[in-house]
Amino acid sequence: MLNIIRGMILAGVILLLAGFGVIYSGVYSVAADTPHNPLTYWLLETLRERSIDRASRPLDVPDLNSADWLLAGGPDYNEMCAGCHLRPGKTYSDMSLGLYPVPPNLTAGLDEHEHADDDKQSLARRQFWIIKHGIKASGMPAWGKTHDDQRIWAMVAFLQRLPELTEEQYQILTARDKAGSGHH
Amino acid sequence: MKTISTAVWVLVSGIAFSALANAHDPSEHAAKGESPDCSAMPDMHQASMNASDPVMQAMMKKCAEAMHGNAKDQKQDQKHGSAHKDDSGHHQTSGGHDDGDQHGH
Ligand code: HEC
Repeated sequence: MLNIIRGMILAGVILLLAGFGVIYSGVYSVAADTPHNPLTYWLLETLRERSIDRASRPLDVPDLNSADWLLAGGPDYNEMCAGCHLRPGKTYSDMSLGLYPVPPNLTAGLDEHEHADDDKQSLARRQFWIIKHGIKASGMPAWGKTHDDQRIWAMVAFLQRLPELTEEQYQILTARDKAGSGHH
Repeated sequence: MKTISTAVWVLVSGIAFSALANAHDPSEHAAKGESPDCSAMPDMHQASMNASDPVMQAMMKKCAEAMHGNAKDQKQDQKHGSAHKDDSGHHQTSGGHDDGDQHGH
């Protein structure tokens, strides 16, 4: 029993030293044009997904199914997000090619399997949380520092419909009228 | 686990430096003050779009505003017209603003 414990402690120490060795040696590439190895990728992805899932669970999703949400969220998306997350008719940008992790193409539908209401709610929560708080060490900024919750929910509403939009529909919905006109 | 989480943090902050510089590059921001290009609206009506659908309602709202807007709006419409395909020329004429802009209704 004692031997097993000793062995485990030793293994832990070796692993720790090896880990620090890897870190200090500088062999691990942090270049954005070199993908992570599968282990690091898994660690980061799992860390991110678990964290977002936990943090976003308590959020209440408003009813986003209305034209006004879309009209509020469209121009914001076009100006702040399309450079990284693309828009209908655009398949890449400097950002979408250069950033790592890659900004997901938000005009592509998610997994096309069933859209159960529950899924839709948790997706909306997740998107709201990510837009508001951003994701550490990725290009995804925290927009909550400069935008209130209403504007962020409006972008979530827009994201829900974005994959179906044609280029023409997208242009109409996202055109930002000059201040003053267009607010009745 | 310590190693791994340390490694995660080191890697994570390393990547932050490479990614965040890009995050603030304004070059991809679209120009503001664009007018909606509503000339395609009639086609969309015919396509199987449902008038109770929020996307359709939002487009109709936007285009109603653009079409019944004031003369200033229409001038902006003209300026941006050349940037859009399928304008069928009516934006170029300096006279009949009204005719041109009601085209899509
Ligand atoms: C500088 C580039 C950049 C900009 C600008 C940007 N994002 Fe992101 N976004 C990213 C990156 C990179 C990720 C992926 C982060 C990751 O996987 O760790 C991401 C992830 C997301 C996700 C999560 C997608 C998913 O399902 O995993 C959403 C939603 C999102 N962004 C929405 C937005 C919205 C809305 C805006 C505009 C307000 C925006 N982003 C602006 C880079 C950007």
